[in-house]
Amino acid sequence: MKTFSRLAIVLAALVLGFSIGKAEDKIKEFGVTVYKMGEERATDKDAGGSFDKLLAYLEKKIEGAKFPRRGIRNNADEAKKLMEDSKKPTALGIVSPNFYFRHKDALKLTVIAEAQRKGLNGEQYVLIGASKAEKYPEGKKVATNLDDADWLNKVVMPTPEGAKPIQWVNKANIFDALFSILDEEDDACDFVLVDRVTLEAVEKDRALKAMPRGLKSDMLPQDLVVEVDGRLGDKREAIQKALKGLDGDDEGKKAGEAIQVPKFMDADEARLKAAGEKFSKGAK
Amino acid sequence: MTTAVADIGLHPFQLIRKRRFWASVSMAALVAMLGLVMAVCSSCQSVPDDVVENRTPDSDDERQQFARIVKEADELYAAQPRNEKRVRLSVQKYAEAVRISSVDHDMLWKGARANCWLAQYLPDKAERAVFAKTGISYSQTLLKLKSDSTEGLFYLAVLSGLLADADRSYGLSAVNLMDESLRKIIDSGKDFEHGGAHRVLGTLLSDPELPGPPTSIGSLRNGKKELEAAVEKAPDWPENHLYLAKAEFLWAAERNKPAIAQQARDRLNKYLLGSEAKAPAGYEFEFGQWQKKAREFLNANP
Repeated sequence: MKTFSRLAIVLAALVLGFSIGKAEDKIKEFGVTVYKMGEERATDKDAGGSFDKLLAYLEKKIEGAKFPRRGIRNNADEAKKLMEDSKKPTALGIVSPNFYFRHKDALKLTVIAEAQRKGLNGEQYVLIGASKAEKYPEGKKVATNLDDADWLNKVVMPTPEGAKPIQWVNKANIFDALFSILDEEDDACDFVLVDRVTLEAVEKDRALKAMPRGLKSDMLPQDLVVEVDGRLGDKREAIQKALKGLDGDDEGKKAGEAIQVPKFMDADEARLKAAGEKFSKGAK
Repeated sequence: MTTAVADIGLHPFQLIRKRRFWASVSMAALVAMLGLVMAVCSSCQSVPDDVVENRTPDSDDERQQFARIVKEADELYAAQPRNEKRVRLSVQKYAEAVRISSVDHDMLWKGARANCWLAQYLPDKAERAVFAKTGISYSQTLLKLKSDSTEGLFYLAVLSGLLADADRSYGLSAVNLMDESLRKIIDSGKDFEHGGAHRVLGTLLSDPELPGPPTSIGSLRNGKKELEAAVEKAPDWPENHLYLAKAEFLWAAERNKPAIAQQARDRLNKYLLGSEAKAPAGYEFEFGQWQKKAREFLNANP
């Protein structure tokens, strides 16, 4: 009897162990890395909790998938290192378009969706200053929170042939850069490069809303959701579907609200192609 | 209400035993210590808009009872030195009073103030959040009665900040509510607490940890302007100069303007540290704390 009991325990343990092993086998990990250009707070410390809501939402929607956060960075080199880490592989990235165009070949990135920050379809920058920038402001000082001169000079405000390039001045607070112009400070820039979401805030500000808007960029891609090296495998479509359906239920809405991206959509191929062509001209 | 709570380095109740502390709690300093610095909120919640149940006294007896309870609550709160035990009792009395009448303007803001005290100084975060929410409900009730009540707006702003301090998930909502409420006071042209609305808003906006638009409302320029307005409203109030000097140091560093840093040093010496600087009547202890902070600012900006 005693022997039988022991055998039963051993068998039970084996069966149980096997079951656990099977369950673990079914769950696949898809590491996630985020890179957001010009966003001072795009760090694990400041934005980690918000992104975890999105990742939790994905885990709930996609059976057998886990989405560990590898890191959130506002520094492109650091984000690239995370994506290159073979010990903690990244399968899914949410990256600014400059990062995608610069590293798509080296990191084998494939776009699977595009973000709609605050529900806006596409990014468009505008120059705001004391006077209206009717044409490319040759050699002028322009404040921006973007830190990729190639992206700025080739895609956002392409330097015309033979023209003196804009002097980009990095400023974390776009509002304060606009106020510097308004207050006629000695070291104010000539113009400020303003994105669509910030422009909405500018239009609500009593003092800033009257400042003239000038030259606009083309409509550009927003942040892109990318697959790294085909690692999403058979979950790719499910992930795309979950992201595109983010605004379809309360949990998704909350996750979208937390990261200020209420929905994702299929990437606009024409926009992506046009930006890519501009960026690749003389690419470093 | 004035003093740099965050700078003191003692448990609040130790301070209370030492001085009439609450009588001079600084709202600007309060905001500075709140840590209302959230880029993106991990589990955002809105500051509650609950109001207390609508009650009015039914009889002369109830009216007299209400008046007696409020008087006791006021006295408990005013008794010196203020301490946790008495303020807790005061809060209980205001809660009793509110069950008889919830339409008395003065009782509501004083009740909010007493809850505010506990929400600020109790050591336990969860308990602080409870008192902050009670105070907010009094402020919200007050604002239902009188939407432009300066006291209601002020305590709604400060208590929202305290709630966010106890529970950071309220941070974004609190920042927006503080901004809105304090701007209403400012737009009304009324003064409260020696340029308090300008000072609190200025300290909030100039906090380097608060992101700028569109994520949040942080702006050193706007914060500095508000602090300058606080100084204009109450030019002799040393705390206004203290926080303006802090903003000036930040401004000087950000824009490489050594002359502005010198201006800040001169300001601190004149209003807080020099031989002519003196404490406002009844604020000797707080003045000492401001001086301590002023020295810290000077040491950090030699």
